[in-house]
Amino acid sequence: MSSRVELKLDWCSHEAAKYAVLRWHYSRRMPNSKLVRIGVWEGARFCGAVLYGVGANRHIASPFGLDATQVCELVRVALAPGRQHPTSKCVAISLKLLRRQSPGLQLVVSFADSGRGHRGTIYQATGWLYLGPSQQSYIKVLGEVVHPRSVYDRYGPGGQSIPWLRQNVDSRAERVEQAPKHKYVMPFDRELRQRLQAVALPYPKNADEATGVATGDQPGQGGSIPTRPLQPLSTR
Amino acid sequence: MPEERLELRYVPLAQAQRWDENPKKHDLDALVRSIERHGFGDPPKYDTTLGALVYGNGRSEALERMRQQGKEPPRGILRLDSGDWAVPVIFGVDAESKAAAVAFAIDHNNLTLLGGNLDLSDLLAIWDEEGLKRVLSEAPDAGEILASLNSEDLSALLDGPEFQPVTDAQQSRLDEKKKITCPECGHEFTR
Repeated sequence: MSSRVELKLDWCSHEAAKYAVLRWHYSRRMPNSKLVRIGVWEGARFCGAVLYGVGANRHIASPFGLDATQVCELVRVALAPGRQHPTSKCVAISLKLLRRQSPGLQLVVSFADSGRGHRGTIYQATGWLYLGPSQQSYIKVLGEVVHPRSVYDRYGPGGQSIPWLRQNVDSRAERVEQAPKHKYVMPFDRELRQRLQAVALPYPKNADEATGVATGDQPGQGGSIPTRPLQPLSTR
Repeated sequence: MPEERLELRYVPLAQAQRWDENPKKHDLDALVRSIERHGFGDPPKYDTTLGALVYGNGRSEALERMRQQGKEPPRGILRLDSGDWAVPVIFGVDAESKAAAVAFAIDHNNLTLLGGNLDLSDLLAIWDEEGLKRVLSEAPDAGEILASLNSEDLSALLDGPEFQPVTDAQQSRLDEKKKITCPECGHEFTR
């Protein structure tokens, strides 16, 4: 008989998800988008959350020829250290719950932030397809480096214009190039998977291979622009 | 009660015994930069009960790194005839128990962060969480002595918070656009 405590994944509250993100995710920020929040328990112990959302990039679905309601983003994996069950198992179970809860979804996208030393180990362990590194410039405003979508949400349409920001918000606002993020996808549809496999790349095995940075296993905040135009899909 | 005094002594850096179990995270690069710019003006403290430095472990490690890199001793650090460096260390007012020493080591770091409405999650960011749990479980009385964490914080740290599952009705549907009704004209649209 195994001495492992029972692993249980179930829906969790915003409060629980926020606790997990603030405590166990390097970003220490809750995403603003609407979310599906899946909690992780070992026995009675709450030990984190896996969060799916619409992501920061509103065009996330277009490279795949899909509608925005068919694609979501794995935005946070915030799990306590010292668990008995591996992160990859938690993510795999969370995907099944997500698929059951939002059956219209066909694809999940996620990003591993190479700037944080992550290369997507958990995605590699759970059979995601790797689409390559994706570059994104962020905006530094009032001393904070934020995604352009967040700037738009805060300041409106002018928010993504550096001259407008300098004139109206922060005279030192500037565009900041971020380290590339490794883009991974998990198709739920068999045909879509076959199509994406045709353009998928080998997993980055070490830091130098793709980005020249150290390795890790936590996903980033997401929200990158697509790396490669996936023509076969967009002509469906 | 006898009067207790602190004493500052210079000891060889190699003899400034660091606390092996110290769960505090350090940014050694920043510590080195600070010492190079400002000198070594913040001496570590040795605690006899702990048998090691109760604070200043990171600064001591930064000095060791600088010495190994062949740098000159910064201001406040002496060079001995042997070539070793001598570091100022505070002695005295030792903890009354191992638990008290552990509690002081934790408080000494946490208290610099309090006062700004930081919550437990913020405080824990400076600690190796598993290491912190380990030292607290090995010195169980330390929790009661701590000034920077209350019993609720400790319980959340050691046992985890008591969140229960909720229904899926409380989750958003990601495969549906949200229907919004304009409060002015009643027009419905999705977003």
